[in-house]
Amino acid sequence: MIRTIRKIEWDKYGLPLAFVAMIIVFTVINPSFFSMRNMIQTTRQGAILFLIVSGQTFALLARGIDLSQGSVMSLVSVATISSIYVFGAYLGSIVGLLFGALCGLINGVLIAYLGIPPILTTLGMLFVALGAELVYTGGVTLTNLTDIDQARLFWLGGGMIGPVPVPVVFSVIIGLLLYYLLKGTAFGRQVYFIGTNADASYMVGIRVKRVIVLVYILSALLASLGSFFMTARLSMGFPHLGEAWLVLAIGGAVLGGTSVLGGKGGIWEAALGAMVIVFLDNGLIVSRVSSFAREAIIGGVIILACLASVIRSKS
Amino acid sequence: MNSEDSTIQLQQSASGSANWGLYWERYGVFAVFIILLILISVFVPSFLSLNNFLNVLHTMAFVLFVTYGQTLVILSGGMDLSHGSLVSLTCMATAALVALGHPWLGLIAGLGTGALCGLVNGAIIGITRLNPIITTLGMLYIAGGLALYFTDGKSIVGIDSDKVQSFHFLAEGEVFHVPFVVILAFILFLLTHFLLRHTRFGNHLYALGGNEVSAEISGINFVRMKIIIFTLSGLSCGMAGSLLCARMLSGEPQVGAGTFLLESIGAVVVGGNDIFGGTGNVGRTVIGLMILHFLGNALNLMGISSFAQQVVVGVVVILFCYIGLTHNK
Repeated sequence: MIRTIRKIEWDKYGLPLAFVAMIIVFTVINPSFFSMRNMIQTTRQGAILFLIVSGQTFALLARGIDLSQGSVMSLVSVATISSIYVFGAYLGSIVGLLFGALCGLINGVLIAYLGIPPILTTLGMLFVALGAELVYTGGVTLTNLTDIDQARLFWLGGGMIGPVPVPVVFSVIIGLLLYYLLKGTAFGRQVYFIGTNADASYMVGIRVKRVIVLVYILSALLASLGSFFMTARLSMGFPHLGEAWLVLAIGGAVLGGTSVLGGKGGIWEAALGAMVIVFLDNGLIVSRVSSFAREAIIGGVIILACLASVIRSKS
Repeated sequence: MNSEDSTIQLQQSASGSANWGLYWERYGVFAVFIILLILISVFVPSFLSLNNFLNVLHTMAFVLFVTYGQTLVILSGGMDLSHGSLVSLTCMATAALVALGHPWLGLIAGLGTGALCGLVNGAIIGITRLNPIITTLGMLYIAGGLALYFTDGKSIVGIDSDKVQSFHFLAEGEVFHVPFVVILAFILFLLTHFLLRHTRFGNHLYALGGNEVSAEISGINFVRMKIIIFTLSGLSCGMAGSLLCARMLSGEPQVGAGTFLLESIGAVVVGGNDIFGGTGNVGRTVIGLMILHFLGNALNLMGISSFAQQVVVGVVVILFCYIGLTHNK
């Protein structure tokens, strides 16, 4: 028995097993956790968190970190709704996403070409994006879309294709594309290589600076997409939309098994981490744990998961 | 680089052409600060008054405590992202006991809570060698959640200022027109400076920040150092939190949620300390925080919204990091 337990590759299967165990426990506590409706809603949340986490994963893989994701999300939420006022639902959404990509571009240029450490650049951007968006809105939520725009927008965030929520469909497609991008293209391999050894990557002829700029654009753009789906569902531009999501983004990536020291991890890990966090959060809600205690518990789980990964890598 | 080293280099370069880069590195931040003060005084007339200065110093003092802790952490090659939440949590811990009528116990509880959270950070980072950013980010979330959990997000109010006069004096009292908390911050500045420059602990801290591996090989106790450094960092949050409680005479679960974290790390960077550790001192941090706060005050006097100030502070931090780095290379 003990021998079979030891034979399991915990690195690979530990977290999925914990995930299944968690779902069983929460179902026992409150059977409505496992209801179809709750599962679909939670998967919708998970799909959104997955997009943000996979953006963070790119930054972490290249041995960086993106602390500005939360603020960029708030900015995009506001920018999307106000562009929809001008351009209509479809074009307006794209313009909103471009605002997010612009923040990523600025991050990337500052980090790659001016040599400012990622943690400081993105910490600065956290406040620049937040401040800019609050100045523009004065802290007020943007509403009052026309009926046509609202219907079009809401479908993207809150609609269903058959039994599957629209954001989940988008996330799966984007996730597959990102998986291919990381594992199947030169760009993806370069990201891993830079994260493992930036100097060596430069010497073998990788255009390190260009790759890093792209990484931060991707990170911001994926966070923006996550924000867009939330905004679409609310059909409101909410200036504090992204506040709680930064820790979940980094936590989800690390929980899944992406290393903060660069070069190790990937999209599968991002998906796994995002799902564990979202289902844990939902399970705690269903078990009637107060929202503030939930924050503390999730923070603790993230630290514990990191500890486990450190201990694992030592043995 | 230690000040002694750069003095030697300055003397060496004095024979040839002056090494401007080195001068810039040592005195640049002071020059920028003075030029900034002159510019602000010229363009914002109401800036130049004793009252305004003391006001800025009074607000700044609470953040100063936190930046001392952050300076220790960053100089030793780490970073503490849990500062904002720890200030909120310690403020709530203090307020809970003050509301029951035990102000001094409250002060001890605030300091103790801060030190304990710091101890947990330090123990995790020291013993398991987990990345400090991840550890303290987790603590940011835990402490933030706990601060809100105890009262379901409500403030602790109803503290009678007559009953806790001496406690209130800590944060609001004045000695010869100088706010008492500013004096307190100054004393702690001297202590921190002494700790860094004239004790073995300080030497070890710089060594750790310069090169962790060689510091350990030469016999520095990594685990003990990390635990002490992060405990001090948590303690500094405890000071800020409990003094903020003494100032407001209430417990606000989100008091540290604003720009506390950015200012804490920002001050260290703007002052020209090396963000990767090993180089710098606490005096630079104080100048850095002064730059941020006087700039914010000037914007305030010009009637610019506090939202816009966030943008400016963010830009200033990035800008100074760029200037500092170019001249460190």
